[in-house]
Amino acid sequence: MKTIRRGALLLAAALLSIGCRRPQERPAPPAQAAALRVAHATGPIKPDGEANEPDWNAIATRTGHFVDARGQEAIPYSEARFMWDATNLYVYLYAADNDILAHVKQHDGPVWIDDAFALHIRPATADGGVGPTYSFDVNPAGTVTDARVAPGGKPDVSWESGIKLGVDLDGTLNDSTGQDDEEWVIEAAIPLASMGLAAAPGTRFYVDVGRCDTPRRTKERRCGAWGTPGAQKLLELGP
Amino acid sequence: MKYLHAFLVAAAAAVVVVACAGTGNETSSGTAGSTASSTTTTVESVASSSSSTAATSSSTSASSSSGMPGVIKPTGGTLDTLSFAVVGDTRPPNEDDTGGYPTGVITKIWQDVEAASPRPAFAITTGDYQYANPYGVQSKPQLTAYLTARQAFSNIVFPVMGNHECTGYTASNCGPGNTDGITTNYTNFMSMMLGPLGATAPYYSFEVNGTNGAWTAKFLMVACNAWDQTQAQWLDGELAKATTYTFVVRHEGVDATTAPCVTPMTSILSSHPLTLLIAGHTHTFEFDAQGRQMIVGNGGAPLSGHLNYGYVIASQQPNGTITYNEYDYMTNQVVLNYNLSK
Repeated sequence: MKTIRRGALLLAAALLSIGCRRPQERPAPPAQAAALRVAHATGPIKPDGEANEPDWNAIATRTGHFVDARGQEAIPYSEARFMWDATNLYVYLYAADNDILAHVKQHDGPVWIDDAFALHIRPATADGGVGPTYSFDVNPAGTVTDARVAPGGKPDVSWESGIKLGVDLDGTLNDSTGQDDEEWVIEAAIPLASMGLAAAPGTRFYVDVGRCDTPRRTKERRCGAWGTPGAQKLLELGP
Repeated sequence: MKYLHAFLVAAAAAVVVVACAGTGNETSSGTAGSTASSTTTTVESVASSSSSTAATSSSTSASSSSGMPGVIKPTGGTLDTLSFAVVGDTRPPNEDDTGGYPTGVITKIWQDVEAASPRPAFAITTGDYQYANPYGVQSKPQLTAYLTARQAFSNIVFPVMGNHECTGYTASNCGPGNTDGITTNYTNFMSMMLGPLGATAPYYSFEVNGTNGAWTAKFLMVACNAWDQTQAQWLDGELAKATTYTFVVRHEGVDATTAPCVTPMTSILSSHPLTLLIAGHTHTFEFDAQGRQMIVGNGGAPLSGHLNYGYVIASQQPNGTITYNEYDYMTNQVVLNYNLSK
């Protein structure tokens, strides 16, 4: 039964990937395409959720306002920012949220049923071939499900990225009675090597990132993403 | 076992539908966007506290000292018909992110308010004009960006203080003698936003009265994040002055109970007539007719509800009720509409 449950979980994750148009099913854009440069951090980044290093505002690569499936600015507001250094890819995830909800506390659990971000990273190959996708789902409780998805394969949640993250909550987790909830921020450091990415200028990879939320006093699921949901952006580590 | 598999597959598929419902089938929910349909909710005589009727005679001094009818000054003024705009919460997502200040949104909002016909005689703003390190250097450029955008509106604006004019924490309490003292954000708010009004304390009031003497209105601008006993006594005293309409404006709504003023104000407000509590803090628009509270927090800060950026215009009706129209800032269409007795 345990095996069946696990299989069902993986199946659900796989279907989610299909349903949410996650990247592994899409043909890879050519690696020669124009890439968005990711800035190299000028100083240490502490992934504590505060995101108070000046680089986050000054030089980080920004997605801007996530958009919904109609291409309109998604409400509630979400955005992501990226930087890197000799060890890590740093990711800042911002979520405006009037009812911060996260019930999944178990690592590699079904984080995506909460208010959560979904980040997918796939190393670009020189020939434009399809490589593995590394997926990260994270909720405002700081719970992470990280998985490696081989081309045509199932998510392997036994893969561990070594991600370190901090969460800053401006509000109260799982308290829908008040009006204190404003936003939550994830500040994460993902080891580049864990994804087979060289920590060097010119390294390219594809990214898609989105977020779903259930606003206060609703049961409606509202989602937004960087550009077209599921569409990948080509990033390149800058000098 | 086979059925179990089938069930699990079905359940997994259901999870997909739930988890992704917003990505592919997101249609207008009667809120923001180009479809901007108008929903009218008429609520009259809801609260028993709205019985302030004997106030007209006490308003004459305020009327006579306020100058030309139709022009509202820092102390108030007289109008044929009460009309004002409400704009709230304008700040970037991240602290000190001045480059990410929502200048475009707030500029458009003020341009919209200016272009409204008839143009509101004045505006009130519900706080949070910055997100800056409370002891840093980004407060002033962010407030400058706000005030530059606000220049698009040619009439007077009355601001209240938000938690980001203190330390940023909802529970923060600034001002002399208070826990968080004098922050740079507080100092700049006082000098740049209240200074031009001549206010020396973070809380103040003004009156707007009918030119025909038929109605009076007081606006009590509370500094919830600079709360002390002196302000509590001031508020109680101001509320005791009889007027036809009583508007209390502060940053945090009634459910933001960690804000310093919210709990102590509950008992103060309950013993006086109240037309409407106007607040922000939550980055959306909400109207609670029964609780007599309006939240206007969708003025450029990262949206947290389901409505687009926008603003409200309140307009007195011939029967004395007040209509509150919430507008989408891009379409200028009324998204939500409420009517409430005095």
